[in-house]
Amino acid sequence: MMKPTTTMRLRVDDRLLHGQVVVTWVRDLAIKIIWIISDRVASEPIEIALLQSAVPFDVKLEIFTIHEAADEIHKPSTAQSIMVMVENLQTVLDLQELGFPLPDVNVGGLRYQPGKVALHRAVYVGKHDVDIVNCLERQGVVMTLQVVPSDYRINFYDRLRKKWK
Amino acid sequence: MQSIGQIVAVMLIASLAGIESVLDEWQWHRPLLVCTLIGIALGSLHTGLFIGGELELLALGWMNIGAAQSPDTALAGVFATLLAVRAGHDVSSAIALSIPLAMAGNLSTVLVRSMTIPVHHMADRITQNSPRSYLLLLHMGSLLLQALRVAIPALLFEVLVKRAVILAIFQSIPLVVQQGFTVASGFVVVVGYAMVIRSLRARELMPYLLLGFLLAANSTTTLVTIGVIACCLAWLHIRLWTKHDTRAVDVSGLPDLQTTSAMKISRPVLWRVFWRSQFHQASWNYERMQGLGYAFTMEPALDVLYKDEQMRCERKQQHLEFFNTQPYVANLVIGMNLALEERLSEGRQSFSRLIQSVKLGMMGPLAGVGDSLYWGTIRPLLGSLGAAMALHGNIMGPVFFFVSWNVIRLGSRWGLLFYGYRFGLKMVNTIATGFLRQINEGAAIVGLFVMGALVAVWTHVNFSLPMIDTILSQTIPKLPNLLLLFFVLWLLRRGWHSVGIILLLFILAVCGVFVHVLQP
Repeated sequence: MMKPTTTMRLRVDDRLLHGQVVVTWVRDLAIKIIWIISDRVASEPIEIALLQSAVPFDVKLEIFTIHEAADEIHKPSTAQSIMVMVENLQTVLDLQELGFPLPDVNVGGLRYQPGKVALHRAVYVGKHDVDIVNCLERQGVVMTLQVVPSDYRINFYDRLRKKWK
Repeated sequence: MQSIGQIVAVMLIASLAGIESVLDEWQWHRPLLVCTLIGIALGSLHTGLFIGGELELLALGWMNIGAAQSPDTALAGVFATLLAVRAGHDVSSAIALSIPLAMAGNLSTVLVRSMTIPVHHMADRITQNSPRSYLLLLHMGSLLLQALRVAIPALLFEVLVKRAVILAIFQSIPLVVQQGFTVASGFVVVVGYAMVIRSLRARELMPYLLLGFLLAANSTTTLVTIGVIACCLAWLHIRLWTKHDTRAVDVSGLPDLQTTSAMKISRPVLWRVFWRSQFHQASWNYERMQGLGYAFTMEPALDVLYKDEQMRCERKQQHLEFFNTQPYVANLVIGMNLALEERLSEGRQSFSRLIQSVKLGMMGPLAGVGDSLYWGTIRPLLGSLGAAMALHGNIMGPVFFFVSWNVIRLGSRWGLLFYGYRFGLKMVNTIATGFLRQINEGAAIVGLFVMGALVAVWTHVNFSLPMIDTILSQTIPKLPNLLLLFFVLWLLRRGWHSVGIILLLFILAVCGVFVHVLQP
């Protein structure tokens, strides 16, 4: 199991590792390890290369598939703060079903796609996302919407109920 | 009384600042430039320079990253200068009043960035069937809204608000508060440094911040010299003191990565793409961000590559999808994209999917590097050097900032576009060698060192008690500045907004004057 001192953050952001993460979150939370959990990224060598070269020099980046991550988290790990990044809400649900101990889920960016509804200027969701969120809410997962640390932290479920009709 | 000529000049400068607040290219929206220009237009160059320098330092860490908009320097800069000049040069009160305006400006730019979403939808519809493109019109039309956002309030202020009213407002501020503002304007700039430091902060590099501080606090070394020393240290650090753990990823074996360009796009067309790329963010909005900008920038090349009208429409439509990265490094993606587009136009359909994944795969990582390099390091460095000169009343301050920044910006834009196009996907090999991480680390060292020096030199905390000065001069001079910096960093880390901290410092300053601990 993880050591109790390990603090974990989970961010849902479909741009994964970008300016907001590198310039604000990584620095404010003194992140030393980032995990990107995505079956898609794990199978794209070009993207792995790009991500590895863009990560800040003092941060260690590890890229896992969903199954690998679910195994990895139960190995004895170092007591440093890990920032887990996933591309979509489906991954969060998959991780939970595999027994991954979910921390609070921070939604930081889900881009617009045709048919999606805006919950916030940086977060758009569709029918499938809403089903997943409802499922996570039933299981008591805490979800927040916050783009950068200086933003006000919004309760994701409340916002969803207000905007999704 | 202001003349018609002055009002027109202020309107034009305000428009320019508004436009730049979204484009982020020439930097006319930065206080150092906009305040100086307004100062010149109103015949008070000196006031403009001083406010510009002061606000620039305060705003060093204000940068727009993705959907996170910073307080607006365009509106704050224009109004701080107008207020100060009209009220007879009361600089520190004008700066205090401009802070709420920066927040108002933030709200108005958020509004405009939402209003341009329908523009994007129009672009979707138009590219569906019209061979004749109206992207230019739509894209640039959005820019007009940003211009008006700053120009209209400036016009209303100039026409409606009488000098007597401003004077009355300034004179109604109690003396102790006015003195508090003066005291605060001496050290509130620490918030600017703290925000930059926060974005560069890596525990193992913090000694460079202290070294910069100690060197500047104990000597009269100029900032330029300090910058050069910082560069030397960064070089030594990278070359000698770090293990060469660049964690390079070897991707040279991948067949896709052998795709370079056939150079079918002529130089004049590339130049047109380059020219347009400077308006990459004109229609930036919360739904698609730089989507329209991307299609707009690609357009001249797409028109050349695709002879078939249907195909041309289809490609433009494709490029209207969501895109966002740091605007200058976007040119690398665009360049690489052009090389792939060439293959697609030869009928190699498989490249359509590859183009999309290159765009989506690169925008995040490149933004991470670009944001911290350009907004987090280079601009604060050049801005603080320029601001320091401006605060000495030297017009070369803004000129230096403008010229050096734009040389770097245009060089980056052209270089990234051209090499991206020429080497296509092979560029990934270059990126993957890990040199970006070295640049990143070196830039952080220079940034921290110079910010440390600024804390010592361009921060003024004056105590009314001579005893404190004596103690400090025999131990560590300027120590209170450093403590103040750590206090602000701590607040930032606790999630305080920069404007909240600035207001807190203003209040503390007024209290300090009131209880006779601080003095102007």
